[in-house]
Amino acid sequence: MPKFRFPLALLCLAAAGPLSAQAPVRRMAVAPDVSIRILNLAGSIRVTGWDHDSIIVAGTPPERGGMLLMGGSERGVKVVVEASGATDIPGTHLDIRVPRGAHLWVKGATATIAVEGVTGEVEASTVTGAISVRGTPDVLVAESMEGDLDIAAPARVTRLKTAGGAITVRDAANEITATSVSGVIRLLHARAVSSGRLESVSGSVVFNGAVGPGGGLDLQTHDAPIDILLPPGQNATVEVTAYGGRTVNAIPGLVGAPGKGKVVRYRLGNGRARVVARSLKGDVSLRRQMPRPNPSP
Amino acid sequence: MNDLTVRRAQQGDAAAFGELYQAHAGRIFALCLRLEGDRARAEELTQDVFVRAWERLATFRGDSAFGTWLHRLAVNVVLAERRSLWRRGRKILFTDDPAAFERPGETAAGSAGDLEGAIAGLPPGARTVFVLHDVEGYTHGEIARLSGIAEGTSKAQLFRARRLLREALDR
Amino acid sequence: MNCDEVRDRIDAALAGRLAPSELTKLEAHIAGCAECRTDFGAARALAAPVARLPRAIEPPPAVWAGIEARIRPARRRAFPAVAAALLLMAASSAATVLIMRQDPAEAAAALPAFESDYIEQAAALSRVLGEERGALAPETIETLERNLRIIDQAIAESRAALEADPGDPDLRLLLRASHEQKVALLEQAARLAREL
Repeated sequence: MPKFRFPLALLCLAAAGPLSAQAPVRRMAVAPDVSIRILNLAGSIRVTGWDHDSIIVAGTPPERGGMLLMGGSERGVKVVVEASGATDIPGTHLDIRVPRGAHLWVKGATATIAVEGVTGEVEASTVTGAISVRGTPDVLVAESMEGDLDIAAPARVTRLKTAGGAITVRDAANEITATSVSGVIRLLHARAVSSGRLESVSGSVVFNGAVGPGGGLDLQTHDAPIDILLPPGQNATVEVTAYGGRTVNAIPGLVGAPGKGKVVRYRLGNGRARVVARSLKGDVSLRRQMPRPNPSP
Repeated sequence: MNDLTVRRAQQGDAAAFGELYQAHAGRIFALCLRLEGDRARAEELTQDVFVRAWERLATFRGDSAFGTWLHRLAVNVVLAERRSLWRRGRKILFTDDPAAFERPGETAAGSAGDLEGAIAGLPPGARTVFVLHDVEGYTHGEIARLSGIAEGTSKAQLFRARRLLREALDR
Repeated sequence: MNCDEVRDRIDAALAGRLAPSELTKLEAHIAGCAECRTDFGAARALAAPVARLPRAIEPPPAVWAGIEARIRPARRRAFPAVAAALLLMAASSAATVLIMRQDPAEAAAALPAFESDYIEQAAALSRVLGEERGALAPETIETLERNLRIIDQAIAESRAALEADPGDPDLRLLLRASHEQKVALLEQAARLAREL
């Protein structure tokens, strides 16, 4: 089992009260824009933003499951579950409250990660654990090998990456890049994406939503379908290059014009906003957006 | 800079690598400084670039000039490090230096020249595209791929940067 | 000539590389378009100051000291069996096997020029991965191998398509994208191995 290489000597336990590795709740006063590093390989990590300038960490490793270490200063805190090396032990479930403006770096292996209500920068990565993010982080970077990414958090800049995990983004906006090898990529109810890049080798790509005025959207797969659904009133020039697959235009009244090589160009409205879709073997389809289902309570 | 020096460095000759550093560090540091607008970060990044170059030397095949290869590697390092939050967090934890708490881009470049200062004052997206396109000569296609944005965005950022710079210089 | 076309030609116009007929159209558009006039003016105003920017700025001596400290002498390390299999996996596209086993220069000459760089990067990364002893769980390595197979097939198919139509820039882009996916995946795995 990999050993966590962080030198223990540099960690000091918080002075906010008597603490021991067995206490279920630990609290630390911190700055509103504190940087927090959280590491827990197995189990789950839930981080929720709140309106206090302090961090609370709840959760205890099971017996023989390792040790929870926490330390730092009011500007930078580390919360680490140091693995015990035993492989048959269930993981640790951490429930952490952080100031809303905190900047997070959260890492698990099989652990799932859920972040909500944080407006600073959020970086989350796992190997197989699912990652879910809600709220409005400033910058969001989420990465997993096989875990699914479930994002409903229109950040200023979003970078999502998986090998096989599915990427689902609701209410995407601003700048977003999502790449996968075999995982599907779906942007649903996107609003005013200014710069989007969705790329997969064999995972299908769906963009269902609006591209902001003068914005850009690049969609690319090797052999998976690309489905583009745009709202009525969307102004865009859409360029589709499907080498081996079909180009399907299901927007009533819209006629495509052949461009250079195999490109087919469509002009919607005044054409401002550029959508480019390319696939070697996948089909590319262009349709009107499906109406949003009633929002769940 | 001759091929022999590169070849010797590829074989593990640290002194030869030192010569490559002498020849190219200025270009790389200028690039990092203009992209980040922060001197301390630029020094760190320059180190990271050369360490990565040392590790990847075997992949340099000589079909482009060494300087070109190194430059592209540097752009990749700078843009990739922007996406890694942990570097900032780690610095904050282990130093009492108040300057460590500043985010890249908030500190002015510190070097003389109205234009350098104006470039440092650009918002990060516009600054990146301006430096890579107008100062370093990358195409919009290359910039788009390197920084994960759409090509149209790269063009829009460039024009925005130029307008902002002109306004800054006219003041 | 519309605004987008004008903006795409401003740099060429300022460098004197625009054909006279195009230059005339550009000037005509600019005469009647305030936005493009502003963009053109900004580009022109910046041309000389940007050209005067120093190409190099010397870093302080401490920078080299830091680099020297981090460069470790080249060392031979034993490849654990699983990692060795991974190395072969990562290098499994036909062209890469060619490079690993034959004269690299000869093999490289057979590929579109930009590919050899990516292939070398991928090979170097898989060497690095091989050296991070056993940090990756077997399931992760299996995931990695599965996804590498998918990408390798995509690379082979894209290359074949490009060879059939070498002048098509979009085919180049698709091939390049597949290569970048491979390097990015290997980098992601190397990061995991390093940080776990």
